Amino acid sequence: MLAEFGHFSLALAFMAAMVAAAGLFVRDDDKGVALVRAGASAQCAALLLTFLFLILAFIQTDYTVQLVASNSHHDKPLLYKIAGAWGNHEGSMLLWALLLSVYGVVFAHYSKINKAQLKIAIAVLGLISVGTLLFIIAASNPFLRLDPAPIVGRGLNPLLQDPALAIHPPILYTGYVGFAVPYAMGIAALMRPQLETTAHKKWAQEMLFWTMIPLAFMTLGVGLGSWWAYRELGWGGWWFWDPVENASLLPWLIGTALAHCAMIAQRTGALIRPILVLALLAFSMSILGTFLVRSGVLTSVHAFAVDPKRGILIFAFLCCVLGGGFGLYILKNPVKARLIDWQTGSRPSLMVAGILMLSVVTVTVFVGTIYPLIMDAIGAPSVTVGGPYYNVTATPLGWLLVTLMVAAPFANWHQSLWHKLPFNEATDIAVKSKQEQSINQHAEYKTKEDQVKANLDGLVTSLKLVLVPIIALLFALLFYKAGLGQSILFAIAVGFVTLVVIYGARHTPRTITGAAMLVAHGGIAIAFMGMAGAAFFSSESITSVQEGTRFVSSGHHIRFDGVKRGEGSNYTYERAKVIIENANGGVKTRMAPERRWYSAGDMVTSEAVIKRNLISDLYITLGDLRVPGADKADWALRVYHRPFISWIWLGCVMSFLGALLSVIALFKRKVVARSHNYEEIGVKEMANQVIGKPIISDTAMDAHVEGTKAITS
Amino acid sequence: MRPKIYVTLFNIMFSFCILAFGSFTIRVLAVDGVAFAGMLPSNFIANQSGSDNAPNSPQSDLTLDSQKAQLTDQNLTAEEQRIAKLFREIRCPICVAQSVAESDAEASKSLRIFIREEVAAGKTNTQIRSALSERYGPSILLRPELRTSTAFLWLAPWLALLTGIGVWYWVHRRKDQPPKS
Repeated sequence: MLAEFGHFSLALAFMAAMVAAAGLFVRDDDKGVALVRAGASAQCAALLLTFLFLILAFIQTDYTVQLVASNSHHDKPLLYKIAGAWGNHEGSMLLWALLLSVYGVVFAHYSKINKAQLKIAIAVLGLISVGTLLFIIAASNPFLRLDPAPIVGRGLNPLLQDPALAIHPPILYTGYVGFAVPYAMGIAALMRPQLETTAHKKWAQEMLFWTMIPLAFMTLGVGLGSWWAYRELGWGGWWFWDPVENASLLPWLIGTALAHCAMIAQRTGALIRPILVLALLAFSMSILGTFLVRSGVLTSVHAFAVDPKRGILIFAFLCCVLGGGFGLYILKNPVKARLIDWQTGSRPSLMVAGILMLSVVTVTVFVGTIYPLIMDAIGAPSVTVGGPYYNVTATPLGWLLVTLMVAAPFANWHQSLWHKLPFNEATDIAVKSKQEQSINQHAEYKTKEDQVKANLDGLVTSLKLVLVPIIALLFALLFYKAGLGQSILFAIAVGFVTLVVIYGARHTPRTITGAAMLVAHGGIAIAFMGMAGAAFFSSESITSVQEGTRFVSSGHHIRFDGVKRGEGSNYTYERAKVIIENANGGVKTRMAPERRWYSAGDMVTSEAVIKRNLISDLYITLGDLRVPGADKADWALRVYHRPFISWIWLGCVMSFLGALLSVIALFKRKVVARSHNYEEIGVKEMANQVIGKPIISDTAMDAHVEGTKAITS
Repeated sequence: MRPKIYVTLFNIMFSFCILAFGSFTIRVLAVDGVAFAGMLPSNFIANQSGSDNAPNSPQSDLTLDSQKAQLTDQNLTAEEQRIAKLFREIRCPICVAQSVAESDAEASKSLRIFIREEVAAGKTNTQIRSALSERYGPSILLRPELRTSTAFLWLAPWLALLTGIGVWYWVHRRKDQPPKS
């Protein structure tokens, strides 16, 4: 019965989505908004129920449901039974729809854009839901029954039986799906255009808020995916330039560009058109990702089912989203380009450069991803675009991008970075405005806030005192271990981090926004350092070993003590005993890489073991038996030495936290804006409330000045 | 006055970044790219540091054998580096996105032995690549060759970059014009 209930509530959700989508055709008044809100809420409730029923079917391992029979097995651990609900095509599409409706409800109740736009945006989200649910009901219904029911299920792909993978799809989908909100806001802005600069700023701030949320989850999702690949695929690599990985990178790149565009726009009211384009593109990239993963045009662990009908339907959906969005953009381009006095080298100018660079990287990854598909489709000789291609094209752009990321926060909003160079200091002081001087005087006052500031400065100084010798030591070590060129490159990567932390902490305003920027950028810098370190200092070896073999690999003395066979919960294994010794023969660590054979699905996987610390990972996998049947078995043991690799994920998590901080800061502003009508209160109080007092930094003062201009113009 | 030490620190670091970035890009683009386009002998990098070491025993398919395990890439002979690089550029024939260096499949093992033999026989990278490409089709190369059918693939990033630079100049050029009211 449960499956039928699920089926029924799925249909109910579809009806509710139709109600929400009907909002496109009703009048722009409170009743219209109430209607779409009700539709969105009902849809979300119905989908929550549907998903609950699906999970229940998986927990009960009800083999009369086709999806359960082909994706689950009764001897799986409970966690993977539940995760199995979204570890397959149908379930993950349902998760997609569910998250979309959750976004819809939250957006419907917490968005601060004007009524007319709000109504349209919720209706557009409803329309997207209608499309998704139609696809689920027509081409990938999770509740189809099976008769006769099999006695055992086919089980979940063993590669996916991993805790990181259990939470990976929900997090990644929270990112993917979330870009539907900026898309809907973009469509709404095109259909109900606003013309005043103040309205643009407010709208851009909303856009930033709703972009930051999916972007945060996207960061975490991409990081988790790569962490899983590193641990589970057993090749010692962390990014494979697999089309599916690229598909998750594309929305991240576009989303990052969109967020930074919105940051400029919320202060200047300019760049509305690029925001619209990027918002439309970000969601299209999400759908493209879904298309690539779900249509079966690619072969990978993610392509659960190959069904041409699904591919065609998703492709049609993609065309509707792209065509509808850009058609509307071309037909009703509402905003005239605003002229801004861009000072070359000022912060917005460098941010624009960064946004463009992100777009260039996106184009590169996009072309590299779809080129083989297009070549196949037109019948040209097939090509493979792999890591070496991206190393030549995307990597140098990545260096440029990180340089910009580091440079931009140092630039003033109205003044070129050029003026901060030492030989320009005289000019700098001469042009320094009276405002800034008064800020400096203000900072001398012995208020409580100044006390805090002084403490922070002290902290930064002591950090510097500790960090500098450590980094110097690190360099010396590296220089000793590796060559000059690579050490220099790595030194630069380290320099990025030091710069962001020390200089950035000194000069960004002590607000949540400032902290968010520091943490997010610091995270990216640390991840970048990890990437550079892993790329430059990695080493690996394959050694043919017998019981008792001793060998040295990347400075580790390794002893191989044979292989034990046994049975796990739903697999049999061959477990190697590998012992890491001290130079004098004492045991340092024991490691046990495994090869597993899953009877359900007849699959062999290799379970790597990783001994990690902050500086480097030792990663060992057990290869196959080289001389089967011989007296003394001969195994292939792969030992990978991966320096700095954990920094990549450390940075990802840090970046995620930074983005969350930014969401919190933006939410605080929304609350302030809600309790006071923007236009009615004085600019100064507003600036104080929004940014936090006292105004001690030029950034805050810039915002203050901008605000004044906005109100008076 | 605020201390200016940070500014100086930043300047040193920034100029350093720009310099190093330049050299890095030039290395990757010029040496690899040019060698790739066939204007330089493709074993240019390998030949720089004299590769007249005795060739390895081609019987082993192992990437690095245990005698040489005291390693970072520097400690390897130029020849070993060249072989490792080749391994990373050839796709495992039966896998999806794995290179020969990463794969444990039988097909990859035989390819590793083949590449070692070819290197020992004194073939250049280009010769080895094209031999493999003839035998398995061009999709065996993880870095596609520059041909007419892949011209767009190689041009796209640079076209995008040029467009980006163009847009940036366009954005900044407008400040000279009086704003329309």
